[in-house]
Amino acid sequence: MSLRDDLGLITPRLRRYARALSGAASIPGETADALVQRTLTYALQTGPLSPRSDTAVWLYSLLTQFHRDAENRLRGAAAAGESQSLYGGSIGDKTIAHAHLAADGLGAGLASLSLEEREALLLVVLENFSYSQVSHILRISRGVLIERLAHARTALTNAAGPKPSPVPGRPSYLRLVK
Amino acid sequence: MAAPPIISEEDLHAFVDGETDAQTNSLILAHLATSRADAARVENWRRQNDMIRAGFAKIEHEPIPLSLSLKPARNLPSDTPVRLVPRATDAPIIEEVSPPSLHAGDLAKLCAAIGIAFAGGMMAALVTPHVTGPLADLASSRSPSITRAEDSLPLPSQTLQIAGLREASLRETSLVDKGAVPEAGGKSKDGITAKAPPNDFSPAPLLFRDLAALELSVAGFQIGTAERDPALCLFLATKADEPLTICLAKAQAPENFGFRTTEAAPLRSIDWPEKTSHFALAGYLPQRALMELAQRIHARIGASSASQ
Repeated sequence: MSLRDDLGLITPRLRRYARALSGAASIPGETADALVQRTLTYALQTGPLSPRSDTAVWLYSLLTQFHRDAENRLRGAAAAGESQSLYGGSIGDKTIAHAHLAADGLGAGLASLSLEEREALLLVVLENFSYSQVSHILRISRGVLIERLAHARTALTNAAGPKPSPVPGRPSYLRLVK
Repeated sequence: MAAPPIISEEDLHAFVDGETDAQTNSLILAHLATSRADAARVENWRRQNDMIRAGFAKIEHEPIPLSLSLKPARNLPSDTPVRLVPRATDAPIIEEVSPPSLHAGDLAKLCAAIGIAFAGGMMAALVTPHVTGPLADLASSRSPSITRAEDSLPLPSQTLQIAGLREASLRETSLVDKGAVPEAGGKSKDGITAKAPPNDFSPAPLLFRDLAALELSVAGFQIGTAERDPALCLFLATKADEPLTICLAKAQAPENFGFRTTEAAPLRSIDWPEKTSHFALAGYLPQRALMELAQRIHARIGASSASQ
């Protein structure tokens, strides 16, 4: 299977990750697709680093880096007092990046995370990568990854607000399996 | 008696994320049975995971925008009896006869052939590059192996309708049935104008009609059969025999107009929104030449739709 075929197969997943990761644009899908397009174009121009490298890990690394670059440009623009983002939306601080998602609980939770925490959580939970693969994509150790996951999960819990406590004597993790 | 192993928070995260082996799982489950606080945390994390997956699940199944399409020329599966063979592929070409350029009348026949396929409740992408026979030949070349009932394929029918192809094609089919095959410009021999109704933007017929004026010949076409496929792709050739592909799809959302270029040398593509549709043009032409062609197509489609 050629690289082009691989890219075609993985594009829907990359779009999902990009959409979850980025939200700075007035039209979120457009921002995400711009990131994916840049990733695919770069991948086609350069090719994989080695024939044995994991294409998915490589592509997610690229997309993550491109997204970080875009975020840095946004922050630079915000610091310079410019009101328009790279993709046309207004910017101010990092939480605005997920303002479009904040209408629901999940969006509010993701908006409360730092970029590093969001990357870690989405790669593990949404994209189902192993800790080893995510460590490679984010270029961090396993320990740092778990630390980010822990922070992200705590932040999501806090953003969701207090939950009713489970019924005493009946741990909620026990489920009847038929 | 040995003390029970201490379960760390790291272990709990790994457990939730499926990173622990069977032995560790047993230890953690035993721990959770005795620690309600940790059990509640684990359950909460699991709910969070489920929410995140469910929140973004539908994106993976959305149609891929044409701007992300990596294949300038799509082939039907190799077992398809009638192959659609764009010339810019590395697939083996069965016949080495150069396809003749199609005249406007042939384009109308192509359009009508699509209409016949759909009017008969069938889905087909079955045109050879050599469209020289009468219309009946085109219709009879439909292969049973790639036809399915229309009700099992609601989306292609829907997208074609939105792209404006199906409605116009059916209208042309009815004219053909009466022996009044439309000619160039959408006008039939008996003077009936095969035009979309006012305010009904139909990019596909407009494109068919204008190809001759753009000095492009048709080598084949393909109708989208899956949700992610464009509604229609035309495999074209310039006067200098440079291969090109143009695809149309329903726009996912209202878009601001602009040409977007993607380059993966030597292949280049340009895509742009056109009212309710999205166009993508790809080929091996130099960037400037491809852009000029995209602008000409946009100008002609835009002018034609404005006059409707």
